[in-house]
Amino acid sequence: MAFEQKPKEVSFQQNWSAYAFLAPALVILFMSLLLPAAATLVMSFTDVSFLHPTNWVGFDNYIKLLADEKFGQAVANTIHYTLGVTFPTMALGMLAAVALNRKVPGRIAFRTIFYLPVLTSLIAAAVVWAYLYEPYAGPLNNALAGLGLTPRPWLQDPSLALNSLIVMAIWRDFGTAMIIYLAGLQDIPNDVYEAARLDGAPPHKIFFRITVPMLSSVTFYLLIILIVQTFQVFGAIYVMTQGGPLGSTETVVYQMYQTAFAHTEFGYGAAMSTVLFLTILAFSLIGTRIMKRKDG
Amino acid sequence: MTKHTTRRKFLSGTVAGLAAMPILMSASGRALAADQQLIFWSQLAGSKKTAGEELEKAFTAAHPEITLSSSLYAEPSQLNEKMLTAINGNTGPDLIVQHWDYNLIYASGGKLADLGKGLSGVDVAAYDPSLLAYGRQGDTLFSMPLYGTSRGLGLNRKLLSEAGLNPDIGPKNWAELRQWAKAATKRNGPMLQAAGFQLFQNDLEAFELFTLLLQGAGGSLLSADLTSASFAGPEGVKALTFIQQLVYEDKATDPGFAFGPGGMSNPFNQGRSALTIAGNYSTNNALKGGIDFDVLPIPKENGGFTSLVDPFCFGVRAGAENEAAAMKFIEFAISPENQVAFALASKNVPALKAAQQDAAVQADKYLAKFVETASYAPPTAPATPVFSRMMTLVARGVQEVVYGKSTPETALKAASDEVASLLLKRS
Amino acid sequence: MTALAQHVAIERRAAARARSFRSYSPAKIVGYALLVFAAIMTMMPFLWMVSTSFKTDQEIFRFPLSFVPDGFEWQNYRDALNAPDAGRQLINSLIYAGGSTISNLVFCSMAGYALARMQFAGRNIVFALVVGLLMVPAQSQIVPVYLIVQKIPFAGGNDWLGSGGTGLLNTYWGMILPTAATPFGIFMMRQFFTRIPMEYEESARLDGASSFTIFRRVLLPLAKPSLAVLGVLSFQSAWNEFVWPLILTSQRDMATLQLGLQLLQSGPDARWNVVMAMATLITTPVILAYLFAQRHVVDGAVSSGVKG
Repeated sequence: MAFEQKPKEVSFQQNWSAYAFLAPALVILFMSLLLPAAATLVMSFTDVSFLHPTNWVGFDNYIKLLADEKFGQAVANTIHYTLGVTFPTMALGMLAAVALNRKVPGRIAFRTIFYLPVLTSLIAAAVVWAYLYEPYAGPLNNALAGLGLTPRPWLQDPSLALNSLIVMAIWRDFGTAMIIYLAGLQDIPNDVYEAARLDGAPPHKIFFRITVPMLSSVTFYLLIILIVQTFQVFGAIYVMTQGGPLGSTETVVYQMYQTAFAHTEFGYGAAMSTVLFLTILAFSLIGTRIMKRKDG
Repeated sequence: MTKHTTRRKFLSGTVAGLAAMPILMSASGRALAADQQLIFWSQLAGSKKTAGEELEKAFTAAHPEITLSSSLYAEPSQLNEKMLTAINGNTGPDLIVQHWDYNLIYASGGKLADLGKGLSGVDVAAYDPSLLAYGRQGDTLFSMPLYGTSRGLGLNRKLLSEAGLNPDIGPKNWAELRQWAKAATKRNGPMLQAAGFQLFQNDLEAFELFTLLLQGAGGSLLSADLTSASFAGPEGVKALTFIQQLVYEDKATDPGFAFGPGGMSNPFNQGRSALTIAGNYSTNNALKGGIDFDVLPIPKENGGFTSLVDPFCFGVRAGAENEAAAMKFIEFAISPENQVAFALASKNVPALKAAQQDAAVQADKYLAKFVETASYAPPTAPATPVFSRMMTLVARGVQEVVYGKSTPETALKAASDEVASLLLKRS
Repeated sequence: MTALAQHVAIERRAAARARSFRSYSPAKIVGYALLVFAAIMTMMPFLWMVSTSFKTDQEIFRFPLSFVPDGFEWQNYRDALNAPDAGRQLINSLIYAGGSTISNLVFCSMAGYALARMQFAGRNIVFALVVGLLMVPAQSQIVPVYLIVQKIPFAGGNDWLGSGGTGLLNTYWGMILPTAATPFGIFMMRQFFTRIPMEYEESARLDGASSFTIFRRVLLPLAKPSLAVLGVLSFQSAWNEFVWPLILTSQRDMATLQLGLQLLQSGPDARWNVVMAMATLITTPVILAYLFAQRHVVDGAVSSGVKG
């Protein structure tokens, strides 16, 4: 029995079995992510194009990136997009999860409806949203006109296009946040709520004092996942605006893809990828810090 | 208890599924390039799908000794992803059909075979020189056009007639083109109901519109030897000023009108634009949208017409296992009867001059019109491996002017400087 | 459960429902109205896709667009299904998404368990590595992953150094490999396993159960909601995945439904009503998978006894 063994042997056996649990996943991650990531890092110090002979260029790609105004714009766009998508998505997801964790009539229908967007094919969603945003007679502008407001060219105006894509992204993602929060809510013991209710705590206090803190590990997970995912946005940009108008929706991954595959500058693209990785890391660390401070 | 039975059922189901997988998987674990197989990666999807399938069927019937194994890719960019990864792993196809600019990129790295040698039995002079120009690098033919698309002035006859214009006789010069665009514009207060001229939906269309006007003013994108940019000269400024005047003086459209993912939301197909730059690919959906559609040549500044062609070309991978069969396929596809058949089934302009004039092709109302406009395209092409970047840079310049963020001179100068440095790096 | 207990339970539930209906308050009505409004807004684009799939060629270009189609143009669905490879693509998609889901459920839950509940040297490093790999942009991985899949030793005619053949290219294994275990899944399972109270595990450990037994018999049943979420997320992302099937296969008989959909919407003169019909058909299996899974998301914890 584990109890009677010496501590050292316990740790050996624990190590061994933990590694056994981890091994299959780590082998897959090694082949599908770690090795390619290492290759990308190496490529970022070359001018590899897969067509011409490859040379080492040292930090040239990174130096070029620093002076690349378009890359700077793409980084700024991407940060704007990430901040714009992440927090509303989490807030809406949590609200929907809390609302639908109760015995609301038709809750299964609601849960399914809120998850539908992410199931809808992106190509179909793009066409439909382009129509919703249609400047001249699209439903959104018609509604605005009905309220006496000025219609706007949502996707055609460089100052509005990115925000319009953010709204579409929130629509697509909040269902995922909802279902993850719903799973998290299942682990909060009922007696905690019962006790609070018996103490006569009003619903909003229960929400902020019990639900939100009890979900903090889920929130942390979602925050990181959403930061990571939205930083890497590609498909929605590709089908909706192709980075336009005037580069106002160009994001880092979109530019990286163009650089690598359309311009066959894989080395330069790899440098963009490395910079993007470091940016995501920085934002995730900031996110973690904020979460920790809140918890503490 | 019920939960135990369901879990057991779930587990046994999973085990059965896992056990069945290797059997299913072994079924298609074949090697990529089996012997005597012609591996063909094509981009003949969408409206070209039927034409491509018929071509392949006819080839298999005519050459039973060759096993054709073809895969289809939806977009040139997707085929490009495939090509770049496969070239790198030495597992590429023998033969491809791809948008011409990608072929030039592959050729610039020595990844495509010289077709001049492989197709020594073919009389290259019988093919449209405008289309052929896109397949050459220096004097070497690396990429052989199967078909091209061409550009004309697309008309909504109903909107033009309503504006008192005669759609049978098109505008003859730029001044008339502006008058037409202005007259056909419909506004309800500031709200645009129908654009007199729909400029572009995306970067590529913005670039093409500018190129057509540049040619119309007597200019060209690149110098004759393709080593320097020549679009920022007086002709380019004139072309971009023309676009600017359409937007800001004639108010024939709004900045950004039609910009978007296209498809269903193309305003021209919804009857909301009187004029646009159309290609033969525009025909199907314009007719489906119930547009009284017509095509006329694009006028030059002082009379005469201009156009551009955009070919999709065959390429044979350098070092392909089955180069001989690949060459046979190209010869087959560019033969007179197959050029006609492909053009009729896909509504594209054939590469063979004789096929362009074939009675059946000429009998197809819209195809004949696009064959005619193709004849106004210059016999030169911006056939440089930096084309896709030049396209993006020029399109950006055009949009800066359309959005009122820059003047034609400044925007073109900036684009031209960047293109010049790209060309310099190549040489 | 005895019949009596069942009866009591039903009574109690009915009473609860009656209570919740009786207590109409303005706040509740407003809240419900908001929920309905949000649902309508959320569902709109989806319904529009379905409605477009029933429109005729001419109708889809009508402007302004009508929300309700004039009639039901079933021909669009026939055209979408008429593609000769559609059946094969469906099978491929099911194998690909199913395989990816099963391997994620197995590998991510095991790894997540180890990271959440076991003490071992290098735990923090492994966890940092997993979270770090989350941040590697997928688009830059295309060429390296292709080469790795091609160079797997002893597969597809390769020698022990991984050269000479095509490795796992054009196989289901190769297609599944890049998504067989994801940092997303491992991270998620770790977060959920840390939330389960230690007591469950400790009592089993005192009984002398092995780590695997504890994992299998105690923790997995408790983690049912999160497994259901992981399952539906994995299935849906593999089902909609496009890049890996495109890059890692080159044969028609290995194509998935997403590749088929791309072929339909190729070029500027695509038939959008047929594209929408295909998109609607492709969405149906994922909705079914979701409906199946969401039951477990919410009821799983209750039936496995967390709430006693």
